[in-house]
Amino acid sequence: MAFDSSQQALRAEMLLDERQITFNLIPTPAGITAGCALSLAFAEGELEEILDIVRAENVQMRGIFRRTESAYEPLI
Amino acid sequence: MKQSEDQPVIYLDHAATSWPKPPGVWEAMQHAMREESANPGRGSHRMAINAGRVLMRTRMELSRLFGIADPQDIAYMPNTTAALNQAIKGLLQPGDHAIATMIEHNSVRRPLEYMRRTFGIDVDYIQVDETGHLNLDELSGLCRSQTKLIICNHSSNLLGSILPIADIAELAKSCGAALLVDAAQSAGVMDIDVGKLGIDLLAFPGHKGLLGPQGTGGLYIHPALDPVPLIHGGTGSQSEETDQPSVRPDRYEAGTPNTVGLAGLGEGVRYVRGEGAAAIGEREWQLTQLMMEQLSALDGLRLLGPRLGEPRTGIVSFTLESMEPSEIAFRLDRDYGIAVRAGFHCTPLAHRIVNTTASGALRCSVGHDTTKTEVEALVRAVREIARCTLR
Repeated sequence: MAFDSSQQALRAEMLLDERQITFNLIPTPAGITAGCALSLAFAEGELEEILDIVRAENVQMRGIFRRTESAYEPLI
Repeated sequence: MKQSEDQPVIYLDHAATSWPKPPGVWEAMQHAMREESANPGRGSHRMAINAGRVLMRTRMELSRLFGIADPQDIAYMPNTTAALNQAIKGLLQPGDHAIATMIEHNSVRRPLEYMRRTFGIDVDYIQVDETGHLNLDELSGLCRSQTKLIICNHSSNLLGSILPIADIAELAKSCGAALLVDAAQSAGVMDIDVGKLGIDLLAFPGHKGLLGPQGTGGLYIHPALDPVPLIHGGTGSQSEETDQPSVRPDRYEAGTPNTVGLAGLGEGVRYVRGEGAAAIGEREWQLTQLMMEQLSALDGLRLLGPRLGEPRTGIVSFTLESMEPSEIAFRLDRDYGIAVRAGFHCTPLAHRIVNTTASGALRCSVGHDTTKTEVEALVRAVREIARCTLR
């Protein structure tokens, strides 16, 4: 899950921490966005719950991407 | 009586900047300086991320204090003046009309007058009476279809009077204007819930009632409004775009922020939330009543603003017939170690209302830790000074 704003990413981090969801905070790959943005990396099984949380709290994300062998494929 | 430099100061200038701060404020700043002051939002190493978390934690504290649903609708600003400039210059366009009160600070009046001179914005100032109260019917009569913005302080920095924000918000809504509130004297000492009060934009300082350091403050912007950003530059986001990012808070926060200061502000807000803003305000009100009661017994002393027993924030301004305010302030500092402020308090139109345009006024302002003993010491000192002049 990529964010344009690092503050939006850190807001998402705080919300997911509160729900004890496992994820990693990582630099957003350049193939997704230019800048110094942050992303949350998590297992696909967590996607629905995480989406519910960020949507309920109006956290603005850039999009959700699935990592493939050679690229990041947009999901949302 | 001569006060030496190392004697404690009786600090009654909280309306300018609160002092001292709760220890947690400077401890958090020291911690941030030592451990967390890499560049937030510009890098993904742990110190940069921790700096970003400092900003986020403080934003959360502020959003809880002001009843703001989404913390990202708060943009950090270096002070209330910058926040007011962002709101006024970012929203008004040629052909627009704005209304403000006569008791606004120059941080409202000067940007408005600049917009009038440069872009032909039409501006009206509503009259306020001697006790700082305004006539809502007059405000209603000034509203028209071009009215884009109504601007008012929550509490006057000269009179301590409190304006009826919820009523003004209702009026603003009915004429389709946004309401910008200058909370310089109310943030941290009055309950402010932007949703309940109907505030569209809230400009607030970090260094007064919120007990943070100077160089901190912010602007809440309702999600439906999109003022043009005044500062353009790096945000660490959407770097490929030539325009400012649309995403908040980045849109209004170009350039490296004051991480250390905001760490302190977060602790200040936490302290205020722990005590309760209204409870702090109530304690301050009690002290103003004591001060007013005792000062009013002095010959030739004229108190400004709301009468005894009426609501006000922790500000008591007055004049003394026999001596200029600047002279009293000088003597209070030199001879008694009492810090107050004399002068015009950057609000020239308010002085017209209370007939103090020639002399200005002396302003004593209490804070979260001011004691009854300190207030009594002030009154004793003013009495002695007044007596000296009569001899």
